[in-house]
Amino acid sequence: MLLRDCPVISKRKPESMALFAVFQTTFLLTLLSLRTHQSEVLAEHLPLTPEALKVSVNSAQQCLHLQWTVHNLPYNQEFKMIFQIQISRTETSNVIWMGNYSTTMKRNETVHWSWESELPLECAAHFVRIRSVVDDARFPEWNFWSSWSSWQEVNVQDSTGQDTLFVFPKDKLVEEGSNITICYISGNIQNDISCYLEGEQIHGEQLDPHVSTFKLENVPFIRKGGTNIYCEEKQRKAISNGTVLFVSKVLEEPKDFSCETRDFKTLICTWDPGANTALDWSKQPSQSYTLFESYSGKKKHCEEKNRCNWQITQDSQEIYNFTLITENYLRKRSVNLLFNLTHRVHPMSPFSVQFENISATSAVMTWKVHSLGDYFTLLCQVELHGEGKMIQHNVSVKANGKYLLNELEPNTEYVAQVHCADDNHFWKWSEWSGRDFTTPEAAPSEAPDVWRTMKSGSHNVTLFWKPLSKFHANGKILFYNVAVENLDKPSRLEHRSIPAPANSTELTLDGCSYQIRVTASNSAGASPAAVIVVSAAPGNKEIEEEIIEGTEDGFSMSWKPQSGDVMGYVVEWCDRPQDPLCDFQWKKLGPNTTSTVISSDAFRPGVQYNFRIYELSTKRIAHLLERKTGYTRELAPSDNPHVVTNNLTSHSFTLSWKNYSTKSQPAFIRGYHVYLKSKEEQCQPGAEKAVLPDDTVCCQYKIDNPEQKTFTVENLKPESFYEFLVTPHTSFSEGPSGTFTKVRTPDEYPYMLVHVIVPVVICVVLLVCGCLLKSQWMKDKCYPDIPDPYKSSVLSLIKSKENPHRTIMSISDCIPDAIEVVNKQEGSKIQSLGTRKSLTEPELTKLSYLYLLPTEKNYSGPGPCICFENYTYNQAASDCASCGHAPVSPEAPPSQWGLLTSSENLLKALEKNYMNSLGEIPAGETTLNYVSQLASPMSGDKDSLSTNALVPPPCSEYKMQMAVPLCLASPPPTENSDLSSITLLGPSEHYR
Amino acid sequence: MPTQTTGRTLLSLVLGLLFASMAAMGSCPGDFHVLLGQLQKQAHAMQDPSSLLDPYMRIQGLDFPQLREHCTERPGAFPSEGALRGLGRRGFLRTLDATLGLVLRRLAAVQQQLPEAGRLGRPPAARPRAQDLEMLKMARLNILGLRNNIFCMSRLLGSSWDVAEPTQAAPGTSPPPTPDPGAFQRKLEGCRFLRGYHRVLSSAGQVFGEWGKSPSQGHRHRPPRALPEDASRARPSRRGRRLVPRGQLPR
Repeated sequence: MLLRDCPVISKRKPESMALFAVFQTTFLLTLLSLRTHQSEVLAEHLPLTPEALKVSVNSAQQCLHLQWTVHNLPYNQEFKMIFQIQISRTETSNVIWMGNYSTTMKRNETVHWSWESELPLECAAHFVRIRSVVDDARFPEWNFWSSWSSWQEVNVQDSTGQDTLFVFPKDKLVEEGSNITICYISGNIQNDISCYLEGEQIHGEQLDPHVSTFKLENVPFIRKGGTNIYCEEKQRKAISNGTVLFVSKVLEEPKDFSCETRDFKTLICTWDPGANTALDWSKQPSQSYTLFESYSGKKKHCEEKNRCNWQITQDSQEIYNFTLITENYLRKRSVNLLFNLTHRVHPMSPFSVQFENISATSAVMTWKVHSLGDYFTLLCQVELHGEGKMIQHNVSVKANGKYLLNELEPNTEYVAQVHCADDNHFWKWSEWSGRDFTTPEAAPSEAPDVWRTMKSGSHNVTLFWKPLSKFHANGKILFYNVAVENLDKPSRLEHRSIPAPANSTELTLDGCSYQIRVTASNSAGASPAAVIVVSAAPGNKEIEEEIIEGTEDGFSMSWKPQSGDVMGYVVEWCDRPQDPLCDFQWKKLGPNTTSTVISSDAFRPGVQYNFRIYELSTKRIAHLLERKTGYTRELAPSDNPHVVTNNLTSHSFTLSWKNYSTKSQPAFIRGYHVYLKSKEEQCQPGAEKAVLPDDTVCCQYKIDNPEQKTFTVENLKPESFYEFLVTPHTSFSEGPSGTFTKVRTPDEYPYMLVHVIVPVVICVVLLVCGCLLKSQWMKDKCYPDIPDPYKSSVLSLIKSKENPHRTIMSISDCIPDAIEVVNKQEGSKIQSLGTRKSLTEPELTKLSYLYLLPTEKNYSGPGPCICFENYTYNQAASDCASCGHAPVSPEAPPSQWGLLTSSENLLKALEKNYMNSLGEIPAGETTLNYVSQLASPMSGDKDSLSTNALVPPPCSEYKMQMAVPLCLASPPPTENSDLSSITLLGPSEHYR
Repeated sequence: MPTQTTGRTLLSLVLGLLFASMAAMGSCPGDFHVLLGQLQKQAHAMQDPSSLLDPYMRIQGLDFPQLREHCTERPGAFPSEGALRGLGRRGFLRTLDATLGLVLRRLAAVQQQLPEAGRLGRPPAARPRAQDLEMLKMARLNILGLRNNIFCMSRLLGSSWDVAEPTQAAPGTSPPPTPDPGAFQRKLEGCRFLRGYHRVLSSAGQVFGEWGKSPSQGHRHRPPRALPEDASRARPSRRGRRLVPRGQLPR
């Protein structure tokens, strides 16, 4: 049961209660005086049973409101009474609550009492009855319980006989975290019913056959629209009904409640309201906020949820006691705040911030504040922001503020701002008010840092200077002035102005000494001059370079001073030595410094940096002192040298990598390693075995001189394969494992052969050349020109013989089918020159002829034919024979040589050759180089060779072909063997 | 999915604002087919439950499968598609306009019942609700845009509109006093009402589609003339009777 939420209505109003307290004593005295009489009256057992019991229902609040009276109270005075109340559910015997209610009452006075039910009152019928007892010490005899009043039934929802399902409570408003009971009344619905809370089925208990209840504990806030609870009939799959539980968030106490004034006219109170407890469907609006001030008793409803303005009255109230009350339908909360108004002053922002007398290094800042009265002093804080720094100053201000900002930097933009607070009782700073200003430029305060480089062997000087820092430039540098003065002879100063931002200039000087002055100028003036002297005799001697080890932080170096009277030292280097522009750098050091660390963001590992250390004399002349070189970190060489193989012999070869530059390597090259792979297991002297990363074993030759860039591998085997790799090594690593190059040593015998063959070949060539030079002579001797047969004298000889069987006719008169040339060896010709006979004569041998053969295919027998004798070949042959290369038969008479020019002798020789050609020629005796063929056209198969047809009849269908190599052939000097070749041609074949 | 919904909502908002501004400036598209195309597009976009019903259900906590199943259009609450087809063009437009007017009123009533988290700070859990509330606002603008186009179409068809301001909802008639059914039933009723609203717009889209197919509708700027349907306004005939939706959103 919850009693607190139901308004319990007593029989008295508050006013009557107060009145009762005033007259309590008097009343008691009166009671005492009447005690005797009362005792007599109450001695009778009057029925004090409560009557006229009425029960009303507040469904939304699930409250039963009871009112009753006791008619039989004697006298018209108040009695202290106890009422016992019984509440039953469903039926009278099911008492679910019983309790006492004590109060005082008079006769016929109505007593009100409320009871809140956990279960919605609609879910079940309720019954109420009351009895009473006088709990008054004055009337102990009445101290007994009266009879119970009759049961009063409360039945809010009568669903009996209805086919509708009801879910209660309907749209109930509860606070997050509450426990609540809901129920459904199914009426006549017989189907199973399932209920769901936000889609999740919930399980309850059955109150009676038609009513089930569900207890929900600690209900959460889900949405402003409420938590939906609905039930459905399982069989119909229809939503029967539902309800919405409006769960409100718990009203939070306002946080950070604070009040302050900015002008002593209004108090501004602010707070953090926390969560909004408003709900949809107007179930609950947002919580309200009310401000109550206890001293003045004033109250104000705040329009906004997180702030409220309170008007300060002119009654000089200093102390305020505020109560901020927030409430919604379910809860009320409040916070208190007590303060002195003068301690809660939050000044307004200063205004009219100005700057006066702004110079390069100072400015005056002024501002105004809103007056809070004559008795108020403000503490103002001035903040100056500039160049990444911030400076604060405190100033005490009545009305107008003023502050001198000094130690400013020229040509600098500053932002100055000010805020103020109550100086007596600090509460809060005002907001900032500020402005920016820029100081004007001033002349540069420092000479530029100047250095030079001089090209050796010339008088060209490149002058470098570093831009002045912003701190020293005091403005924008517009140009640099360079003044050159000859120190050796009086001359006019040479001035040169170089516009910024140039940082170098080139001067061409003669052999004199010069003093160079450099100044930087801005709009306000020029800087002090930087002076440097270029000596006529630089005197830079050759100084050996020293290797130094660098680190990631730079190069640490030291030097030995040479003369005691120095102005300082300069270290120069290039940040990017590999670039053409080099990015020249220098560092000037004091006279007492003999070591320094050179560092630069531009330094990179694997880059060699060279440093020169100069000593500056008192005359500002620089002398080179030392040279250093080093790497910030040496890296492993990334490339191996490109190696060329030279002088390859059967026992050695030479490797050369002369193009490999040691200077441009990412580390100091300390030497080279030559790796040699071979099938030999043992390494040569001077090499040692080494295991490569791929676990192969090879021989390693070490070269410790980085400038030695050739190496000869010796003691090799001929006709063997070798693989080599040359890689540089530094102090800590070597080059990459590159690809081995293969070399094969040659065989040593061909080598020797070359030494023999080459001279022989040269001799032969020389001989051939000699022959060529004498070619005409050779031609004349070996193969003279062939004479024209028509111009031959033989023709006249034939005519003179008048041989009717023989004639010489023009070729155009014939229809040749084939031409056969029969040649006779020289030796034989010579032999037969004197025995010229007719064609029928058997002794006619070894003549050269041209035959004209019939072309008819059916030609099958002997018939007339035309033959040509070719003396020319015989002539040539005889000429050839005269060279003396062909062997001459010992039987041939020496006189025949002389007959070559006689036509008669020639004819004889021709006849002889001819006749011999028709005779039997042993095939095996021919010595000709020409290919010969013999075929029988009679068979009609020209391809079938007949090796036996060696005796053809004259002018038959056999055709013969012969070729005689001139001069080179050396036929035997026999008559039967001089026919070099016989070829049987078919009817369709042509002479060749 | 939220991105898709937001994009669609944004598009419809732009369309709604565009058409609303056109009508507010008194410039109706003069081309029947252009106007019809716009009406079709609007009806097509607004028939999508994600434009109004879904955010409503999320706000009310009805987006559970059991409740979704039962969020069905109450029969008779809105004119059926057949009834809409049976109406003449002007009658159809008037009915649609009246339906939209009712929806606007109910939407306004719902929005009044939904306090925004605004002034007291918005907890993270309130953000989806804020988005849904924003969609309700956009839906209202879309309905205004559609009504303006209906007004324009009606004018194009030569009908004098009996509503003075097309973009302003006519004062609705108060429903007869009934016992409070409770917030749950009102939520469900609103859900069913919006379901019917989307269905009506779908049907309207179909009807507009048929207008486009009809060969007789190529006329432009036909001068207003007295039509039987106009006359039927004073004496509603059976065919031209204005069908007024009976569904209601909870208020």
